[in-house]
Amino acid sequence: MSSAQLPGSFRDPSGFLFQRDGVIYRQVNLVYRDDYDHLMSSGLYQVLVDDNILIPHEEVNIGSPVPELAYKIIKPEPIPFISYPYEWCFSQLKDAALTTLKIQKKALDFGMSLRDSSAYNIQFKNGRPIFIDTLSFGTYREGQSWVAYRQFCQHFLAPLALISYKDIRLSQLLSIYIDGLPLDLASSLLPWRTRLKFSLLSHIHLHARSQKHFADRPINVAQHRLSRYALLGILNSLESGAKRLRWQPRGTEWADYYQDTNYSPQAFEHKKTVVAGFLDRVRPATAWDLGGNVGILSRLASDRGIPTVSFDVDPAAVEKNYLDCVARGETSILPLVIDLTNPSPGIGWENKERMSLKERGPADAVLALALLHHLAISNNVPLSRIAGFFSGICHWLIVEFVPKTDSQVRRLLATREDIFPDYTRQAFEQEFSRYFIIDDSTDIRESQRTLYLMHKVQR
Amino acid sequence: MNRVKHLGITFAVVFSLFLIFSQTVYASIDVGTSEQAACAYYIDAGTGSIIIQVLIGAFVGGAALIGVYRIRVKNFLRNLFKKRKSDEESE
Repeated sequence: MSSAQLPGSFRDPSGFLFQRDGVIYRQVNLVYRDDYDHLMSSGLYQVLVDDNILIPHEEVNIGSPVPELAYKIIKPEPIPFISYPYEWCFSQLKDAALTTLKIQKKALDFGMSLRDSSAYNIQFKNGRPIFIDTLSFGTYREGQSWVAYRQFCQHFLAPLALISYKDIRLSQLLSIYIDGLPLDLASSLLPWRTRLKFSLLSHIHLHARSQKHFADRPINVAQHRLSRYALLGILNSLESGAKRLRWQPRGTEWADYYQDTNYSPQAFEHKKTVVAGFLDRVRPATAWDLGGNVGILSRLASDRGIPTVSFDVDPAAVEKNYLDCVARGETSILPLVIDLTNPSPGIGWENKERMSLKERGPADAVLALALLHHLAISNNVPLSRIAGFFSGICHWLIVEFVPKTDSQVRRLLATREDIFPDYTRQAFEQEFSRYFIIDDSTDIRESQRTLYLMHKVQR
Repeated sequence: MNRVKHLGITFAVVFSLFLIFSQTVYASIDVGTSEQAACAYYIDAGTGSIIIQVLIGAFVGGAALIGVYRIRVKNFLRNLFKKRKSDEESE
């Protein structure tokens, strides 16, 4: 029986996460006993769990890896796939922000307050954001300010404002600044007109100025009172500020966003039938759809109850996918923004605090549909390296080969020299056979494309 | 001109209500004075962030106060009418 403390859980002395026999547990340390008991006995835990915004847990009677510190061990409900704020679309980040504020307001009703408001405390479960750090609740004392206020502005409000007023690509700053965007940076990047919005003027611009002004000036914080109503007013202001922020890609109508237009309706229907047939044959436990666009084909898996992550490099496609999930109340699909040519690395302390994409795998099945040509031709990745990468992230592979004669590939080659003599169906099968056994292949009707079902060679 | 005057009066009322009803209690962010406190506040709140909260709080607290009392008064009236109605029905 071996226990490993999870490398992302070391900052808070109240407890830590550890893994034993593949199950994740959280130790509640003695130092957090009073707060934990208050959380559980006050009714706050039950209210938040009933509202599906706090991860439920059960107290378990197992040995502690650090018994001298232990008060209790709890077993939280598992999260199917851990995702990070730099992989979320705009609305996912916004919903995570609003969930955090909702929890904080509810906590105040029960005499507690969030001790941190990191975006990493939110995960997506059953399609909706949920708070996963049970030990984040501290006893609220009348008069105290919100200790996690700065963190909230850095993790949520600043990136949301930058995306809304400047550019969606600025969300990637969250992968560089693990504790959220520095407010002076956000303030300098935001356009001047954001100073006319009270929430952004106060929580970002003036906040940044205040941080700078008081950076080297110790103050007696005991003299600075903040009534409960003032705190509530700040939370309301943050909430209305976040709610008002919106993002939509310029010149695009959501309804027209699906871009894969080189199929005839019959070809696309045939493709869906073949993929669905492969999924029914394999019945994977989990699926990743790489290059899932707005998630039409990802839903072939998620509609079968398979927990599916739908990745795409285009934040607008992921946004549409997520908004559709919310509108339909879907619970098995998680849309995320990932650039497969530069997938999320391990970041933070020792590069271990936040896992790389590969560390979060393997998925039982990977769908790589209308993707291969983008990796091989747009990004010059040799077929052998693509096959090698796929073999590291899945057991089953449903992959579509798109030949050079296809209109999409011709479009990719239109503006560049064709340096890909090895990009052929024969070479594709040969390279992939080094890592996979090809179980089936079907030509898609009215197209030049072929779908393959493969499983990984056991070495 | 009248609009400015109304806005000014509204702001003055809101702010005075906030000052009257907000409780004179003191922040106790005494990090490190006890084991409990060290546990409770493991992140740095930031001096500038505390000060700006106090300033923003002075502006937005009044509105929050009115919001809370508006709900209380609304609930009170609703319960009152419900009670009267149920009394009448039982008679």
